[in-house]
Amino acid sequence: MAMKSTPSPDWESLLKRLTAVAFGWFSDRRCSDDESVLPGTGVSARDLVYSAYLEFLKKEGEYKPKSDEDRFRVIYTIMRRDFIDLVRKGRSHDRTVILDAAIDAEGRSEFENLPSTGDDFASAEAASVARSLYPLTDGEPQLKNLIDAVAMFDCRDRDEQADMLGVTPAEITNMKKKLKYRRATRERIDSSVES
Amino acid sequence: MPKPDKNLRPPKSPREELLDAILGPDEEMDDELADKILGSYNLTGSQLVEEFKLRLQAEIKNHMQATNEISQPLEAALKSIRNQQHAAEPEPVRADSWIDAFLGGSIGSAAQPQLLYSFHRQRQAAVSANDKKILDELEAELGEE
Repeated sequence: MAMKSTPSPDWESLLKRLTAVAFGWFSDRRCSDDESVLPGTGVSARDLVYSAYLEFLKKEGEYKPKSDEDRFRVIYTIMRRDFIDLVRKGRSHDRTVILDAAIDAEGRSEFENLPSTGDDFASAEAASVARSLYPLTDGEPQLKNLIDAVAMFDCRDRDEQADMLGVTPAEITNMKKKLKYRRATRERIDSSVES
Repeated sequence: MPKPDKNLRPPKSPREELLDAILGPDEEMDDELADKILGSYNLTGSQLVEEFKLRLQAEIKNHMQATNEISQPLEAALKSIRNQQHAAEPEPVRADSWIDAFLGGSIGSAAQPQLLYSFHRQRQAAVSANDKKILDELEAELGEE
């Protein structure tokens, strides 16, 4: 009986999607240039993706992926772990220390354990996230409303967000994509002002 | 696919969960959005594949030097990439067979007659006004036939 072979990966699609995700993470660290490396590490977003993909390939036999979605999930996980390690490694660097004053390697904020700031946000962490994302709205009120729905009302479900904003779930998806695009691209550098 | 080790995936922090709720999880990244993001960095998917292929070749070489063995999974990956790149290239036109087919009437008879232009559409500034006039007239002339 012939063995079922795993279909070849769509290399281009996987590399594109993983790199776009990595650009988002690097952009959060103010590395919004293609060649930007995480301070103190010498690693760029593309380095991170390629090295995670190579690690995956060496052990692909163990993972036995059946689809590109399986591949994406495993490589994404490797990438996340590598990124966390890199951020830890780079913490000694001056620039990173400044940036990391509010965010640790696991993405946890020093605000996490603080009580609410007394404003309308659900928590100090939510306030910190919202303020970091506001510059991405570029004055579009619905985008700000989406951020506030989560940060103030802890409204995390897409359908609930749609109800709250009076739009369709598909429109919420498009709004998220718009924010994600702006987060991962250089537009943020020009318009971002840390509050 | 076996369930991945539970310890493999780092748990999401509250901050990441908030970001996921606002931006949508990273796992939802699709080709369209990825293309758009890469475009803003002047990158394309095929560039990434080519660059990754070079890394893969270097890794295969390093593995060979370190272990004196060929890494089968890496070799298989390289072959798969090359196959996909090859498949994406347009089929080269073989002159002999094309001319034979043309003379035999199998090319051009079934297809709708189509005018082909061989001269470049250069940027306006790269062509003198006189040359541009000649090209435009020639194009118009050919179009009338």
